[in-house]
Amino acid sequence: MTHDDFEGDKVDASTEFCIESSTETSKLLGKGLDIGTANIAAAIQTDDGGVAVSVERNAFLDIKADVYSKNMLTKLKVPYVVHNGNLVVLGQAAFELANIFSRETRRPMCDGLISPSDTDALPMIKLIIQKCLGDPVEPGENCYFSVPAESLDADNNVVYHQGLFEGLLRKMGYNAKAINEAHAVVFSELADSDFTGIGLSFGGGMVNACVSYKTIPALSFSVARGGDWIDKNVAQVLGIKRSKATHIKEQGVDIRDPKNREEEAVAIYYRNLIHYLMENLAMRFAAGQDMPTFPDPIDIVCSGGTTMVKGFIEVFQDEFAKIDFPIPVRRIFRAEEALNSVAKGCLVAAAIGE
Amino acid sequence: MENLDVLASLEAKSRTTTVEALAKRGKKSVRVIRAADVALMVQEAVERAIEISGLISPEAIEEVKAQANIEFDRLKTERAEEQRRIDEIESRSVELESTIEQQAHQLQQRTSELEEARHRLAQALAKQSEIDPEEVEGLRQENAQLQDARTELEQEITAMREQLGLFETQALELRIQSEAFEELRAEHRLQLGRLEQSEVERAGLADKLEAAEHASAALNTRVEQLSTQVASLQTELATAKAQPAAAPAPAADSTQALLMMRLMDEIHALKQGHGAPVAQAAPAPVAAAADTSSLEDKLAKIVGSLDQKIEKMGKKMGVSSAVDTEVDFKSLVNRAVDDSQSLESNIDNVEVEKRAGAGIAANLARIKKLKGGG
Repeated sequence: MTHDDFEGDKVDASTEFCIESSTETSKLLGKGLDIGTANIAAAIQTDDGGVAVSVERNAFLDIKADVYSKNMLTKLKVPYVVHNGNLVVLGQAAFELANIFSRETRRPMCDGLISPSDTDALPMIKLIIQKCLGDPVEPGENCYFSVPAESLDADNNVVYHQGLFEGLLRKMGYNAKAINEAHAVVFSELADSDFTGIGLSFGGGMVNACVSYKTIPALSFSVARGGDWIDKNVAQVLGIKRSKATHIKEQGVDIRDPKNREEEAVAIYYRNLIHYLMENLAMRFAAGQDMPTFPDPIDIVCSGGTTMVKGFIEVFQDEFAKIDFPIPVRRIFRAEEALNSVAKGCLVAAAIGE
Repeated sequence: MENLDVLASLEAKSRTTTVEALAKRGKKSVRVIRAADVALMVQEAVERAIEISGLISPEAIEEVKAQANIEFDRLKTERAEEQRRIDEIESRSVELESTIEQQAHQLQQRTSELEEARHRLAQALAKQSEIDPEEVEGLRQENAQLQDARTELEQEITAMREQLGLFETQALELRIQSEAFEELRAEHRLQLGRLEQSEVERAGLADKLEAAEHASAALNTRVEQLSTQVASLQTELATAKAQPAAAPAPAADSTQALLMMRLMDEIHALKQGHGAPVAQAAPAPVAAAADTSSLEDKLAKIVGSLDQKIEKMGKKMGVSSAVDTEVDFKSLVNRAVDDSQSLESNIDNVEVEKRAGAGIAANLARIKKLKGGG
């Protein structure tokens, strides 16, 4: 029965109305936010049952403010803000401009956490987050955001980082909750294994690992090495700018078969990073108490922008074969949507609401 | 029927117009006649004509007159009703005329006010034209300069406010760092105190160890001497046993045996003493008790240190026995939000990169199933 069926009928006290119910709004509530060193990604559910992820590079670049530059940026639809008398270009455009002018971008985050040395970091990252995430559908909408685990090899202040973003998102009208980055990867990629296995998030600032048993995290840690660490070392050995090293890394290197000196350097540091992580993971497994006993071989899933390089999984398998890993592993694979994985996992957590 | 036809003719050949339309045409008053009067006039004219003609008998004329009287009464009633309507219309017309007059008066007032205003404007323009144009231009320039100066001042104030905000943020960060540094310093002081204490204890122990080593060396020397004596006595005994002819005196043999036993006891005692030099060096049971207490302290410290290490390891594994308290970063966040809101930006007009991904329905279903919800 539709509303039209009532049209023209006389309405009196005995008339019965049929109230149409709508579940569409509640289905689409909840957002996931990946606050990464290199990229900010926000995930939402779409009407057709899919997921839409808005991504922006977590970087900015300040250039001298003049009317000409401002007009040019506006015409080219480059996002900017005027801050302290300078034009600050945000996101991917900042990265591209930095490459053109052979400059370094400024980064709001460093080694997976909010940068303590850059005083402009917080206002800039807030603008980028707001752009990706948008306003809540309704006040108090769930928003799960990713945070790193404490590092094995660095003294980092995760509490400050988490508290800051929690406050920021609450101020934006969300019910903000933190979730470990690698745990989010498990939520996103290991549904077929009942969320049991090892989730690895190879980010820009660090690599996060989470051993999960049926959605429950048994062990989480991070190492303060990631894509930036590769860039820094490649830049050092080749004597080039870091943004240039990033560009080389992202232009399509096959780390199984490097073609020149630059690619060789990238491949070396990739291999070293993977080996370093696996050694630490194996050691934590060997030393850790209260670790779950896995009845069956488990899966290892790798995600994050750093895994996007060609040959990553093959090199990972090579390095894995070199160590004596304490538990049997069934499959090592890269997440189908490696760049969206953390944001999607956060979205799953937000939709479940736990 | 004739009357009705007259009325119908009148209706067909007349037209309706408004009082305002008449007034616009310059008609301030009009003569009016009722339709019934017209019909009556026509009827009377017809009756007179018939009477004069002699075509109808007097009886018929009387009958016609009676009917005409009835008809006349009806017409009179209608006329009275029409008269009432006309009176109403006339009174409404009077009201309207009065309203029109009032409005005309108001219009006149407004017109005169407008005229006055125009006059004042003309006077002002005339005065303005008397002012020296250079002076006007000078004033304009001065005004523009003042406006620029004001804008600059406002910009400076804005910049200073931003600077102040930054300073405050930096100050807050420095304060946080300073507090962290103070905590570290206090911890270092504590560790230094412990180190100094352990250094003193170590020095005392080293002295005791040295004394014990000295005593041990002296005892070793004595043991060696006594061993030498025992060996020579055993040699003597063996020689004596090998010479039966020369029977030794029983008293001497007994003395040697006693001496031998005493020496063996002494060696045994010395060996025991050598095995525990510190305890032997302790002059009294009180000192021994003090040593035990010191040892317990040290053990307690070692246990404490181990606890700390375990705690650190636990933290790395995400386990801690400490009661955690939440740090409130609200003020820092508020500042950042306020800072970013006051910034000029085009970010709202720029699209971010969008990627489409697979849905999460399967993941949600699996989690619900695991939690026993589906």
